[in-house]
Amino acid sequence: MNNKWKVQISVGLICMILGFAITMQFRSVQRNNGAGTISGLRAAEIQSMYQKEKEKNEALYLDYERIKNDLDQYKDAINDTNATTKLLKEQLDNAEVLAGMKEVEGPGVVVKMSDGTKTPLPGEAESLYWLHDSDLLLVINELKDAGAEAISINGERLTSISEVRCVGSVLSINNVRTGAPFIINAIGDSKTLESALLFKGGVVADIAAYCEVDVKVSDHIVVPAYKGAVNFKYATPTSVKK
Amino acid sequence: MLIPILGLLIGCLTAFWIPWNINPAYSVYVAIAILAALDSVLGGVSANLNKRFSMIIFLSGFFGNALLAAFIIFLGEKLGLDLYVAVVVVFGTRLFQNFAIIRLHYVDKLDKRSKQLSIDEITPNPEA
Repeated sequence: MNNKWKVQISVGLICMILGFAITMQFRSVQRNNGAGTISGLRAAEIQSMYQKEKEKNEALYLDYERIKNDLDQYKDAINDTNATTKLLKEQLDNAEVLAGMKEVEGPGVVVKMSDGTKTPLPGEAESLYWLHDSDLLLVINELKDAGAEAISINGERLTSISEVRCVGSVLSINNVRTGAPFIINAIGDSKTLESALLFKGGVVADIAAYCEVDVKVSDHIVVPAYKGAVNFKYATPTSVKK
Repeated sequence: MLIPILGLLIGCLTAFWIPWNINPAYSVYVAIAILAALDSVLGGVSANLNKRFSMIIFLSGFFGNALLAAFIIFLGEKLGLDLYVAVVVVFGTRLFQNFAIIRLHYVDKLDKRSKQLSIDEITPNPEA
């Protein structure tokens, strides 16, 4: 085998590898762009994805409004009948308030919480001055203990199965992400609620050492209804045995 | 000239024919393989033009460089450093250098020929 053939064959071999690699890479880059892997995407692409999700969200909300209207119509139809149905309706209304399916208003407190503005002392972790889900949960628990009847955080009604959980740097409540500042509306006896939060050595005093907490009493607070859909997949009422 | 082009075509077609894709996490390694291959091809051509081509140097250069590059990237990922930039810069520089050698070779050839032509034109043909 003379040198000319050696050149041709070895360069040909590497060219084959080159062609293979280039084509594979082209195909993968094209396909992966559509698949929505966040890591390689630039801010502009993420922004457009966000926009799309937002539009989807709005469409779903419109759907929800429509279905809710239907439901209201059915309820109106029940309204003008006899005493038994009236009693049933009353029970339904109570259950709906308890479950957070109705917007409610009344006296109570507004708690505004946000991350601390102080600079950490040397040796202190920066995260010490951030609000965490645990801080909010402590406040909510205290409010519930003081007899709060309806609570919402940044417009998200807390139901019996609502979660309050850190998701990266934001909070997920009812699977809706929301960021600081967190405004907690709680309806109940405003004096009791306020003192439950503000007593010396209490929850707010602890949190206020690092973060910003502001408690205001108000005569008129509106707590919105739960906006999500309820469908229980696993829990069914047990039949009563006599 | 024919076999390299044939090789390129075979490579492209096999890649089209293969059903699976590269995981995005490994695409930087493939990109480096592309650079290493390009570097080797240009290096091989320029060595051949200077009549210094050796198959063993050529093949060991490609595989050795590719392995070292992959190792550097791997190390960079583990250390949290963008070491792949070093690989890209080195391969990129070599690409341009080798291309310059190839370019100069052909420019020289062309230059000599045009000089030859101009001499032919200036020198009067004794037979005319």
